[in-house]
Amino acid sequence: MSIDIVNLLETLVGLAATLIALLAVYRSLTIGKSLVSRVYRTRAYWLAVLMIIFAAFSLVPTTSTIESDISDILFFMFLFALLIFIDSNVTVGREIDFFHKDVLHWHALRIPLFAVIVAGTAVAIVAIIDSTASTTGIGIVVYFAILGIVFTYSGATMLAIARRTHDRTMKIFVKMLGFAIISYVLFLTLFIPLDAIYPSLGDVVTSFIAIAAAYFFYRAAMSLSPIGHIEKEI
Amino acid sequence: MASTGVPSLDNLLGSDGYPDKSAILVVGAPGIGKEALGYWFVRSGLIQGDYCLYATHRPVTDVLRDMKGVGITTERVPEWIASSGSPLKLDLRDSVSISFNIKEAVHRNQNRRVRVATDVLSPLLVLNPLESMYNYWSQLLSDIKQQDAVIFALAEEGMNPPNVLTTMEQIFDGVIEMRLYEQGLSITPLFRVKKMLGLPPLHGYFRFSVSSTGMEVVPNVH
Repeated sequence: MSIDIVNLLETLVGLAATLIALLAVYRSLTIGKSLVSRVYRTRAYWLAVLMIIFAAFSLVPTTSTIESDISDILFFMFLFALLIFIDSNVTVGREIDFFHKDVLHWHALRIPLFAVIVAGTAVAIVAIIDSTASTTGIGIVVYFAILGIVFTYSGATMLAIARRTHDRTMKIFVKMLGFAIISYVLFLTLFIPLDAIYPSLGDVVTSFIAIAAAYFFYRAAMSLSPIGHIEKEI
Repeated sequence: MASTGVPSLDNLLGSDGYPDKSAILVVGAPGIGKEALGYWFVRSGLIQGDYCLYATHRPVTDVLRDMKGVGITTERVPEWIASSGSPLKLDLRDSVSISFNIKEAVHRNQNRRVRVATDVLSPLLVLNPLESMYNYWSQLLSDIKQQDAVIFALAEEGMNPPNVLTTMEQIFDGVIEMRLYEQGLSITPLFRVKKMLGLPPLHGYFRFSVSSTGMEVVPNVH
């Protein structure tokens, strides 16, 4: 495959992912606007914020240093938004639950969790800025270890909510969100090694994974509330 | 007739609201605004001097916060049977005491007009067999309707299978459905009166919106 065709394909696939993400933003905002309860509305709006960052992240190239810095900032913003979004989901899960149980003690642990992420991000930013320091590698490793622990706990809480709830829409929502996050993590982890081995083709492959992530986020947005179709009157 | 607390809905239902001695079921997704409809119904009763009872599986503080969120002042509040924050506790695992407490409170106020709002239907349907719940609710509604009372129950769409909700709809005099609908690219909250005692079938969908100044129901034109 010639380099031009690969570049064109990469651009088209990246645009498709961005368009799907923007459609998810629109759907989340319109659904959020229609909901009366504050907790459900907040969850819809946070999904919209997450998808805006996702779309921006898909659009920013990483060819120059400045673009790479913007990409890093968007990455940190995405992780923060994801954590707040998960928090809003746990609140919804608690609202839906008849016994209003604090699943896996999330509400007791959420503040320390956010503090850990803030501290971890600070360590990572210092490590990136001072890239010549001998501690850079350790800083990045510590950051990803913290992320791993926090998001494993978040994922476990979401799964526990999905298992506990009787609400079918919530179950579908958590499933779609799970697929979206797995696809996105796959995209982020495969991007660097594939880019190193097959620079152009690697971008195309990971862009297709980004499309899958955007699609599952869109399906999650459409599962924020059951949506019907108007029956024709006879 | 018992005013719904929403003038545009009163007009839709024949200008006066829900029929006397009736049981109304509102089915809808979580967060769509079913509770708000219940709050306006209770508020309207409190203003008219009716005895109002709110039986909920949520803490009283949560319900009061939600009421304020839709612009309802809480100087006048109903009597509560709630999971916490009320003298009478509501335990979903004890359906017998829920029924007993509701009936007892209603009978204590037999000389007054009574309004009962509750959100325990869906949880009880999840926690108990359908047949026993059908009999339980038939009995409870029939007992309360012996008096000048209107019962307003909420059911969560998605929480109970559609056939379970269809079965339960049979024992209610009025059924209102609230949900989001896709109309082209837009998503709109719509309202449908599936049946209402004393009214011919109401065809069509109605748009509804809830703000801090109240609730508005208008015919859906698309």
